[in-house]
Amino acid sequence: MRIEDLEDALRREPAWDPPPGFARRIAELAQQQVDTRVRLLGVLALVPQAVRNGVRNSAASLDGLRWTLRQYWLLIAQ
Amino acid sequence: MVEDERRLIEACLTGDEDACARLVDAHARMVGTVIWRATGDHRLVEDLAQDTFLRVFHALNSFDRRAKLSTWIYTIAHRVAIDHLRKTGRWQQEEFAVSPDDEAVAGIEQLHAPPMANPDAVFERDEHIRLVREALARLPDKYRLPLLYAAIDGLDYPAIAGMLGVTVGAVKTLVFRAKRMLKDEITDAY
Repeated sequence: MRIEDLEDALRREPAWDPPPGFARRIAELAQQQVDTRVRLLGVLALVPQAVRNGVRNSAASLDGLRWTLRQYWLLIAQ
Repeated sequence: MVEDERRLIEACLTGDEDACARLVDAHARMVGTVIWRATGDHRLVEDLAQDTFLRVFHALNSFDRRAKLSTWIYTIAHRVAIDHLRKTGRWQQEEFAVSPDDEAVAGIEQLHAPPMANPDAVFERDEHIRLVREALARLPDKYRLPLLYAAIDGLDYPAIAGMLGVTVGAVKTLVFRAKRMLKDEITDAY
């Protein structure tokens, strides 16, 4: 068998043909992924604010707890 | 890079779905063929081609505009196929580097095949293709893939070199060596 015959046999192998609608489906999937990433980034962007609010609320709660305990202490002391 | 291609990329990056579909349309046939040749399994091609294009769109923002878009996309297709072969335990070769043994045969232009026991049967078209496929399956990936890629219409040596991460000279050497090994495999089968 000659090298040319091998090359010829290899070149006769068929190419892949995408099924109908393949490109459109991929484009939609890609767009969905972008949308998901944008939404995720949006949520992540809110995290620092949420953390700050959480800290502020916790601080407020601690102040409230301290005030309540002080009132109890005053009542007991009377 | 041609201006049309640059505009297409920019449109894809702005979320233009039609532009994304045009990009897929332009490269799907080659992407699928690369994956088919590398995996040898027609049933896998659609899923792996989809995976390839999703990776393309995910990384498009970081694509170097000085590079050739088609080669970049085919490189991703090649890697997706290799990842699949690796996951299924069918990947034997990590590197496409040329060994001293490969260099020794690089200068040979033409090989003369030894006479075969039954030449008439060998040259029967279907039998011929079957023989080549079986022999190909026995070649190490390092030689099999460059040879298969070189036989794809429209895929040139510089593109294959980019996909494999080697020089054009190395691709030529690997392809030449692969042809010789393939011929030996077929001859040994008779």
